[in-house]
Amino acid sequence: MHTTQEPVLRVSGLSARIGDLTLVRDVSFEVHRGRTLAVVGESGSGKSITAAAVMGILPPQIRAEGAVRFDGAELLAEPAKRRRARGGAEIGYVFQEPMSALHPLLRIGTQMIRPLRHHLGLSRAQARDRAAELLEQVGLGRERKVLDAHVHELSGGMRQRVMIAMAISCGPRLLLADEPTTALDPTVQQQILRLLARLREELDLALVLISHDLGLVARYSDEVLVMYDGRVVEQGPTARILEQPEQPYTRALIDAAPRLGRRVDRLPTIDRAVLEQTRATAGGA
Amino acid sequence: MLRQRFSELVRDRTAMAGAALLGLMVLLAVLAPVLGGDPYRVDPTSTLRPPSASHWFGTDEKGRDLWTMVVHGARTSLAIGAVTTALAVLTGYVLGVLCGYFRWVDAVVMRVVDGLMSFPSIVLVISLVGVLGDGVATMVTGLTVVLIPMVTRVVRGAALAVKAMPMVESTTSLGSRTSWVLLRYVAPEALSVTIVQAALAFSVTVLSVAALSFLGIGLPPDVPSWGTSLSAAQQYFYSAWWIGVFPGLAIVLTVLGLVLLGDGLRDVFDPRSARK
Amino acid sequence: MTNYLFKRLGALLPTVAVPMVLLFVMLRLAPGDPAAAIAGDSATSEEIAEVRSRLGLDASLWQQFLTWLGRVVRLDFGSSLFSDRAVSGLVAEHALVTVQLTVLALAVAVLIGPALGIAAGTRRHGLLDRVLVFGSSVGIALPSFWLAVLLIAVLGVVWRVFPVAGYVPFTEDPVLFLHHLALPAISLGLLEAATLFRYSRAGVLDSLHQPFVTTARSMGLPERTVIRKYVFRAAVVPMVTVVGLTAGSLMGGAVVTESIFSIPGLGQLLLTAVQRRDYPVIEGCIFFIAVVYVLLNLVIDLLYSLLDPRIRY
Repeated sequence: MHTTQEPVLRVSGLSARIGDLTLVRDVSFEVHRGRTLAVVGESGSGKSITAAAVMGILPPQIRAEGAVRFDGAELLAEPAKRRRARGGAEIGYVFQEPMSALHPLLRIGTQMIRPLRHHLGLSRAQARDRAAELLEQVGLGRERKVLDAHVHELSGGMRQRVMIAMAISCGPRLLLADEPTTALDPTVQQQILRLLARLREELDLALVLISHDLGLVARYSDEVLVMYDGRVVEQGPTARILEQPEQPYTRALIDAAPRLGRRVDRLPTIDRAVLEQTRATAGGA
Repeated sequence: MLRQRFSELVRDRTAMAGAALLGLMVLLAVLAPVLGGDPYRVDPTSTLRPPSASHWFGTDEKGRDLWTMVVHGARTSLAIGAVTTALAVLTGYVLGVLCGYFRWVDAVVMRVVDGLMSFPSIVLVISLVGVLGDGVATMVTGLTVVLIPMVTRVVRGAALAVKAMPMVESTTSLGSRTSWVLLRYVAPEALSVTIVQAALAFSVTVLSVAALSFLGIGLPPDVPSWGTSLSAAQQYFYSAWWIGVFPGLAIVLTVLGLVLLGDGLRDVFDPRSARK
Repeated sequence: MTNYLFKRLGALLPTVAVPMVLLFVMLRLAPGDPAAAIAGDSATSEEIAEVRSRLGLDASLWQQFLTWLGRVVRLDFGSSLFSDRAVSGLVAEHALVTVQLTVLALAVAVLIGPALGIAAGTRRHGLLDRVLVFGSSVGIALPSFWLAVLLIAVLGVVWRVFPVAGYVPFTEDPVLFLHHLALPAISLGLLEAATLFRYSRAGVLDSLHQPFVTTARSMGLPERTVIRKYVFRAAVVPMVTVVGLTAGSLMGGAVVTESIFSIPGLGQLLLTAVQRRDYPVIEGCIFFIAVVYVLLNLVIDLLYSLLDPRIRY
């Protein structure tokens, strides 16, 4: 259905290394306009590093190799300045911890206005109006109170909405959301995911949703990519993955996901044997 | 653990440069009687002579050999520094451990520590010497009082951390004697931070001794010291630059050695605060 | 706010009380008869007795302490044992000079230290960074009085750019005032700049990798904007404390520097008092310096709450 259209992002054979240690090995995937890819795995599986490599915000000691094609350009080959300029304007990034990802000493308005003026060339007043509109779009109301607030004065859900408003503010085609709901309460988690899904529709975004919780993001994604130990274990359409997982590790992830309304008597754990088997098969892939 | 840290320290180039500088000064101090002449020999016939083969660093305003004054000055500075640091570390250590374990001691001692630490130490030492009168013992007392808080504070932190360790809680609840727990666990935990503070304390002492003797306070005027030599340089600098240069260099090299060594020690022993 | 102010003053009380009590205790613990030592070798027994009663050393220890406390609370430090002038007047007169010198030295330190710290921190491991880091280590190891002696030799005696000693009141001639205080302020401030350099460099290095700075980068802002608007803003808050503490240690350093440049400030007053064991004057100087420390701390708190919206009293 989307195969005729060029994907917004095509990652092929992406690896990330720190010294001799390989953090991400040979990851490939693509994302199309208006579609959501969920990248799922435990912490340390390399999913956040993959996203940071696409964005170009890896810590300097980590090197990325492979190919990251975005809108026909090869990002890894671009000079740092060109890549930086794509941030915000073409690719948006939502961080896991909005509390630390927003500047503690600057007003929300100040932080939102600066990229708007830089990328879109708006005047201060125009940028401020635009920021207010964006806040309304993410469900924070039109009142200007949030613009004048500091991050510590907002609730967790509000902070993440601000973060999202900022990420989409300069009209990106691709949005990378790195564990956008992990720091939030379960009910707020659903609201934020619904918001991201709605924005994807409205803005025709390509969305990459990174999470450790397959059960949570499954409803909001078209495709799933499962990572373990820096490698791709399994990938495919969400429905297929949920119904017929090929790998025992994916099965374990599905079973481990706590569902709303279900009482958990014993926290589910992933069997050691399953992990070892996964390591063996992923290594061979 | 300690051995591993030591080998890390040896690989740290900054720390080794510091250690080398300090080692050199210690060597000069220890060998002063062999390397130099008699620091009390005054020779009115050869005052303010420039550096030469017979007087490497020249002579001072009383005709004393400046090289002899500098190596004996090292002896004075380092001896006072060592004694003061040892006293301060010992006292600070005991107080810090007590603070970590007894609430009421902590309440009292930490108020005093806060009060002393926020006050400029050189002013306090000068005033204490002023009240107690001149003399080496007075100076050591004044400096020790000023340095104790530094050690107490870090040892207390370590003691509190040890107290919160599960194994310590369980040994205490098993009825182990408090003093045994203190010795068994606090000592190794506090050792590293104490070593770092000791290097710092030593450098503060060397600078303070130099400042006090420069001002003519504390040490008797005939005791060879870098500060006293520099003080004379104020009058004779124009005609005899060497009096102003060599004793000053000796101070800088010693303190630089201690600062560099202290930085290296902190990187290895106390990495949490290393980049602050 | 008022509530907070009282709490804070309570916490700062030890800064004044501890050095004062320490002096009180030390005088009484001093070996020999302090009154005899203060009165001098040639003093008669009447003179010694007179000194003893003026110092309040002739009562029981508790009584002495209570009397002493009563005087200190009323800010009554008596008069100098030598000139019979009131201690409060002497301190006020000399303190003004020291405060001026401290402010000038602080200006030197603040103009140089943080700017270089930022330059070095944003170019970590570069040549400039290495040179400055080494320079700051030397600066920390360098005694201020030696730097003063060297500066006098070069700028004062050889090149004759600055006068080597003396003080001209600002009200008399502002230009001469600055001319006379330039060398002392530079020799004091340059070394404190080394400390400020170290802290601001560390602050910049620390902020460079904060998540909110990564966010600014992810939004595509140029590195220059990121550093100017995001990194500096975060690094400046802790610097307030450091600058405040620097002001304090400059007052301490001024004691030594003043004696070199013959500046009639608090340091000179204290030094003369120490040499003559003029106990009431020593007490007055220490009290004044401690009070300035407390005030500085309160100012730091106030600035903090202005710069960091998370802090409200």
